Amino acid sequence: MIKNMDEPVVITGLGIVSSIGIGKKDFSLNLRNGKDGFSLIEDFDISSYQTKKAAKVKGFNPKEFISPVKLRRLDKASQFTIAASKMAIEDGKVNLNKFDRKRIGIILGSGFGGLESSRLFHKDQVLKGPSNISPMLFPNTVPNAAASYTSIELKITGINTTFVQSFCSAEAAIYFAFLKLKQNKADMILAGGVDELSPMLFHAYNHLGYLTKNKPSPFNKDGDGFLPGEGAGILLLERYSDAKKRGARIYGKITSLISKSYGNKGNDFLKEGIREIVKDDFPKFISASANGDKVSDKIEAEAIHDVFKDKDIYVVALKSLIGEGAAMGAQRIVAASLMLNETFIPPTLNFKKPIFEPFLNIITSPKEDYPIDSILHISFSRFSCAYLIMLNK
Amino acid sequence: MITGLGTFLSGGKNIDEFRKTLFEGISKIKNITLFDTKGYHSRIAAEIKDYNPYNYFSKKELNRLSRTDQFAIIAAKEAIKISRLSIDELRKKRVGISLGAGTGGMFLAEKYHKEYLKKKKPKPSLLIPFIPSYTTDQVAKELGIKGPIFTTTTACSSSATAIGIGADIILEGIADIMITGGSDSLCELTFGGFNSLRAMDPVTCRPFDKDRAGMVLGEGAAILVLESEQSALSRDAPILGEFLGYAMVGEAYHITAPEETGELQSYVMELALKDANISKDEIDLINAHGTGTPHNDLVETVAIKKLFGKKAYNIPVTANKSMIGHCLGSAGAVEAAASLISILEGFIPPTINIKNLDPKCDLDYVTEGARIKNINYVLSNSFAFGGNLTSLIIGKRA
Repeated sequence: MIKNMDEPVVITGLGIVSSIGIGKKDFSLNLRNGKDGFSLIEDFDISSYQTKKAAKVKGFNPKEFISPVKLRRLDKASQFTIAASKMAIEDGKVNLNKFDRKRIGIILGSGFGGLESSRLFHKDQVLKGPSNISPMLFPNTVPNAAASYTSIELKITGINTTFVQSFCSAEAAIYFAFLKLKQNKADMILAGGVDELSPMLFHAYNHLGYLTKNKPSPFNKDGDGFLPGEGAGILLLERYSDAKKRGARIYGKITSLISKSYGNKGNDFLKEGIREIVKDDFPKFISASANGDKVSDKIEAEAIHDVFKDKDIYVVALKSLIGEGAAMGAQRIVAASLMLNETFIPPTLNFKKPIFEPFLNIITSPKEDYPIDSILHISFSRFSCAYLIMLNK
Repeated sequence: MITGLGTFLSGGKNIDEFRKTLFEGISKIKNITLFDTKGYHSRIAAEIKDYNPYNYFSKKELNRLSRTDQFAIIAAKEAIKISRLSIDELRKKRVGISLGAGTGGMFLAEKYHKEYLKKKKPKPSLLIPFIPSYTTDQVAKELGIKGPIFTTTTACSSSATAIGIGADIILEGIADIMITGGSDSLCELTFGGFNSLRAMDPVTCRPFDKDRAGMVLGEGAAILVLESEQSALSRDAPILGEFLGYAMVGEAYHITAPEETGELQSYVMELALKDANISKDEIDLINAHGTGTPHNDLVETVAIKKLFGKKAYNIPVTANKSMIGHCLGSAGAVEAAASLISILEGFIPPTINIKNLDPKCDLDYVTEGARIKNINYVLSNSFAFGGNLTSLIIGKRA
């Protein structure tokens, strides 16, 4: 576990591009109304799949954030990241000219960013042969392109790195940002993640049998898979004293984080992690990882149940609204930051039959005027890892 | 403390073989046999040859492991063996893992995609190793690692950064042992990609040569076991050297080209020295990023001179890629391993294939063959696509 008692890391800006809204205002509104982001996929051919829906970003106009000249070179993941990063900086009321840009970094979790460029490039390789391939696509095949383009756009030259860690990629990025702020290796870090739902990714999820034909139903006894989502969530993170000094609005603080590897040791690693993180800080509220895959959801539900026993604990599964993705944790943490401040709880949609009884207190209808002091964010990838993050008001 | 080291490369399937390649200055660059290269401008790479996976893995295991995963597991097993750690011991200790990735399971995904494009029915299992963190998961599984887990994906600097993250985790007291490094393997997409950018030398990899025409790809894995001093001393571990510090910055200049004044490259080296608490005068060797691309080698030379001033001419600079190619996702770890070998064995591997030195690259690139020298501190650079710059400092045990 990593924590910093002397000097918390605080969230002072939020940027969001999601299937349920671009910008925190729309995002927050749709969260509190329990409006999900799933829609029929229209931008590529889905006729051969039984699953037809995903939480795609709609109505995103990159020109609001990026000049047309630069836009030509950018894939969607990079566009989402630049847009969310600019929103986070604006939301944090940061005038970059007044800061040392060498002390501002970006740490991103990338959910298959670059895959679409890879697919197009490789398609040309296979079908057209080596001599007719455009050199334009290749630079965008690397997962670090999104963070790199964002650093170029914002001219920030501090710490810059990209993580992929199964379905906990954004949490890995936030964990490392916390560590670097604690070490005083940066003054501000844009941390979070981006997912781009490209045709090949949707195809792969389908072929691997991960997807439901219906809407995802987290914690449901017969949850038969997830639906993918996309977008970017960016947190502006800084040390508490710096934030206070510049009079920044503080959404909340990140108190402690845990990263745990699966390591071929059964499913107890998630439970052990939860037990460890709640040792000195018992939350009232959990933002669960559950995505509608009953096997994973059951492990998570049992872990929560075993640790909290009969304590009052409320659980929400936001992937029922925004879908699943390797870096979807970033959007969920943006949501959690808003919940801490705007005193609402979004609902878990499509929850009908509990996996076991008595079951957890799953919030199924939106709640207003509900003050929350702390949220335990769970991110769980069955054969890879668990990441846990404690957020406090 | 660095208490374990393992490599699996074209330049040797274990540390002893790799050391021999480095000492003798042998080029491992040959024609590619892994896939058809007809029609490409360059057709060479430092491919791992004479590799029979069945010598290392069962058929069942091979069904779920990409070449990248296989290389990583083999190198990790060598590293823990050298570290005198058993898997049983690892299970009992606070152990984490931090690996850098490049193409991950792309080679298998390409097979899938090829069949898909030809309207055949590829097996979906070819896609499972695609996500780059899969390699890290497989090594963690193999070694029973339960602690923190990270996979960095910043192209050519991934594994250098991954080692730094491993050191951070130990410094924070979160784990006592971190398995760090990286693995990568050749694939057609990356090969075609660098060809499409005309960034590949069709003849050989010749960093700092006047006629250098680009990089040559390599493949393989390098794993370093990092351990807290207390843990290492308490179990009387072999201490191979010390990881002293690192730094990373984003150049924020261009997605593929380095900024020509070398300002940020020089700055990241300076920050790494500061992090390690080492003065400029103490560096005995620079293990250069040195890819063989015209621009990169020149800017790196400029950046070294910018930071070290006149002293730059007295610091040997070596480019391992001249022998074993550019291993992308594992390059930083491979070069950290080579740096550690220099410290342990007291020699500097040569930069090979230089026939006519570029007059603008006027540092001491160790062209005459391996040089015997006592090495206390090495600076190792990894400068990636996207401007992800990382520098590491590795030292002899104090």
